[in-house]
Amino acid sequence: MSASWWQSFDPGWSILAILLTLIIFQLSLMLFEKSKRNSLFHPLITGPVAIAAGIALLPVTFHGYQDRVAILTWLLGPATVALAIPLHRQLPNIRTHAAAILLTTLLGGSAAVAIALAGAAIMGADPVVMHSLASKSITTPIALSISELIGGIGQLAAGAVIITGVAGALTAPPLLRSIGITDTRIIGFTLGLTAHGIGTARAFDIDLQAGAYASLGMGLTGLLTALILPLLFI
Amino acid sequence: MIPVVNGLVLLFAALWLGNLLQSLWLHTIPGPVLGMLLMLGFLTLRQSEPDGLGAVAQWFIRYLSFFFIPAAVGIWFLDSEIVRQWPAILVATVPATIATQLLVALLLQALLKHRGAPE
Repeated sequence: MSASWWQSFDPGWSILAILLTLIIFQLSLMLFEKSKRNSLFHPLITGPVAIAAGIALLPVTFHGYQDRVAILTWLLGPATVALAIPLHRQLPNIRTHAAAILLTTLLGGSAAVAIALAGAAIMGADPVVMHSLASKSITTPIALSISELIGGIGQLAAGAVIITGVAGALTAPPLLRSIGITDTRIIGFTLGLTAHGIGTARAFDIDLQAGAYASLGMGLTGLLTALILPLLFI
Repeated sequence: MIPVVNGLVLLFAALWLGNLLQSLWLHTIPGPVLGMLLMLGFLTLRQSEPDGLGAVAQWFIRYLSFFFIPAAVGIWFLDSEIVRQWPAILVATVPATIATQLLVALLLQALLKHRGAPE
């Protein structure tokens, strides 16, 4: 028997779920600013922890929650298209070294996938886990749609993207300084390529040039990975 | 026309065309990514940015983390079969990312030096 319209349509619960998600997001943003924008306190860490705790304590399931806030996830689609605008704005800046940038994106983006998969394979991961980890370095909306296409688990892909972003945003600046790299173009691009949006936010805290190169690294890597990765898995 | 509406029309047109392109022809590329490519092509051909598109895009990008929160909650509700593989997941995310960063930074540094074009 299919559900009646009054059972499937529960705007009250959807609005409440979205409202609670908004309030938690607001509190996570405040905490992030309080922590002086430390990536460990990124809203994508603290927000989901608070919501997961809420789901565990209240008489709701994760899938029930996800269904009610599905419209938020759906908005990742237009957000992906929107990424074209900052990418288009950054392109003129690299005209003098476009080849270096594109080659680094191609090799670095491939290395990000290959090293992650090699590491997971050595540790004996199942194929489905490997498929979920392949998109870990790219921006969240693209990662989610790729993992769906190549048969990964969306929940794990989302988690891997966030862990990678936070770890990458924390490690890149001290790591690159330790090997004597001070060029903020390189630091920014590395942050964007390996740690997507979380790394890009970190880069904008260094300076504008680092942020611009990070946006470029994030956009190009997301685009190239989306074009190439599914071909290897389907 | 109201600039914000103009921007939204372009954004959703690109998304719709991208999804259409995926379902009809390019099955291996996510529709939103094709939409992004179409938008990039459109902007490159047109050269200037249409009114309102920048503001609309900035709004969507600024709240990207918010839209991603429901998906991010999922990591706390994985099957135990997957959770058991956490060492592999950790290796693929943390040390692998550090190794990639070293490689990317050194490669870009070498290529920029080779080109000899400091900005």
